[in-house]
Amino acid sequence: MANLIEYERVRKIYNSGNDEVIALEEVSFGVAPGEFVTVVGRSGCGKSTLLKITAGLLPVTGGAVRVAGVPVQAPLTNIGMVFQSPVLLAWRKALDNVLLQIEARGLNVGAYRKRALELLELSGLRGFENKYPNELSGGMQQRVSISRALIHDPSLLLMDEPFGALDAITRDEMNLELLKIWSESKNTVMFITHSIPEAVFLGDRVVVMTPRPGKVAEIMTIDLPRPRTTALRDDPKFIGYMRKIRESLGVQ
Amino acid sequence: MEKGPSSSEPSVKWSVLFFLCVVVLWQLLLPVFKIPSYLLPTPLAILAEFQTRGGFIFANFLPTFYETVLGFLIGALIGVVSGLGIVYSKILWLTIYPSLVVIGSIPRIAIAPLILIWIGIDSIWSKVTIAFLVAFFPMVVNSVAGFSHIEGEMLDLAKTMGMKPWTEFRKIRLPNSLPYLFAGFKASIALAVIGAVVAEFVSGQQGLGYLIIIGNNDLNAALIFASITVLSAMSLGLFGIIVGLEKVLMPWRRGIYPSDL
Ligand SMILES: Nc1ncnc2c1ncn2[C@@H]1O[C@H](COP(=O)(O)OP(=O)(O)OP(=O)(O)O)[C@@H](O)[C@H]1O
Ligand SMILES: [Mg+2]
Repeated sequence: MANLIEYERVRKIYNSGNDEVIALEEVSFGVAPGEFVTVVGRSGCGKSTLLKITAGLLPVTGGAVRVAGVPVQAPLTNIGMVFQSPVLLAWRKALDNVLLQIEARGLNVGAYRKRALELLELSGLRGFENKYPNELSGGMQQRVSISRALIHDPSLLLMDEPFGALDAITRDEMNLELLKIWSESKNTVMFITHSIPEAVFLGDRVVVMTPRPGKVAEIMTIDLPRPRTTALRDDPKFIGYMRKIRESLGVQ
Repeated sequence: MEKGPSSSEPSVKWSVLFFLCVVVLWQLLLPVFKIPSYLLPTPLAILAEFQTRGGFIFANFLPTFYETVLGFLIGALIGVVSGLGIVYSKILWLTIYPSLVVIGSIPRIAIAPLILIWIGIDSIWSKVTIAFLVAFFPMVVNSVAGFSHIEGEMLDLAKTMGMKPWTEFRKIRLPNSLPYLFAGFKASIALAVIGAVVAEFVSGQQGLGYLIIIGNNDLNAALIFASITVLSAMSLGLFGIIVGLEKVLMPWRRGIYPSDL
């Protein structure tokens, strides 16, 4: 099957003054439709850069990204995007922040209200629908932004460390919820994380990146059954994948 | 209820009480220290001034009020429109905005006499123009900030939603600008009062600024203080209207400021 996303020798160099930072160096891989790909790597290895390039929010310096066969040249609009920070509108309550996605697209807000409430409830925000962002914790804000990325049921979901601000327990719960939502919709997901267990738990494949310049060190296929359950975390195979990723990240 | 600077909020009740105490002390202490009334009148003398010349003072309040409000409204309108132009047009951003900053550093009050000559000393519009000139500047700067100081990723997100420019304006830039605009309104209204009063000082025709000049010439401190009282009440009232509007229009900001009484 043809890949939904195709990275072909993608290079990205940031110029700040006379300083050049090579953020990405010759990144090439593909993501199949319906696949859940996770990307792990140390801070500063170009993960966010890769995601923004995929969304068409940053131009490449060299190489190309194709989504559904078409070179990405302008921002993609058929995607759901979760940035590393929540990026909520301070003057909108949680529910209205989720519905911004619908309003922006000129869809019928009334028709999506129920779905928005459902998503907020799934993310553990029941009872907080009518709170302003400054009344929510950082982790709760991020969950609002995830609901906002999911509400229009996009065929491609780009998520940048969405659970980075959550405690370990809530994070594990959110992982399960995300997989549940994903298994119902079967959209394609690019999911960036710092957490090796999270990468293994969620992904069909894990892209391991190394920094300076940002490169793909290894792409690992995670051959674990779905639906994934919490018990899987103690599975020797799961632990083996974690060890291999640690090795390729150069963790001693 | 706990009391103390750390736990209790500033309240209108206490500041009014404090103000009344000052007034009463003022009334009682002036005779004790034998301060002549042409230097500092007692509150009762000021009150008497209102009683005998209330109509005259009110007649002079109206022009000041109109000049202030018109100068402010025109300043706010042109300020916001220029801010929009500067944010949405690259050319204006590159040309007008930097020169505005230069113009902003001219003490605009210093050109008040010129404006009076150009537009006419009798016309209310010369004074409105002076009020406008001083009120306008903070409005431009604040609206430029309000329409453009937006988290870059918010605008990126809007792009991934396929948001149209007009929707982006209505749903992101406009609400984002409100706190900045209101900060501008508050600065502007205070400046508009100053502009109007200075214009009246210079033109010497009518208005509360004119009354202060008369009081000065006649060594009538009570009239000066009566005029200042009316001016302050006017400023406070106009400021209050802006704060009220702010609270209605920005419910998400409630409780952010200690000034949210
Ligand atoms: N706008 C920019 N201008 C200049 N350099 C940048 C810019 N954005 C990122 N960089 C640089 O590019 C490199 C990769 O940044 P990026 O944000 O993609 O890393 P990351 O893998 O997402 O890191 P983290 O895990 O901390 O979020 C870093 O060295 C960073 O300094
Ligand atoms: Mg990042």
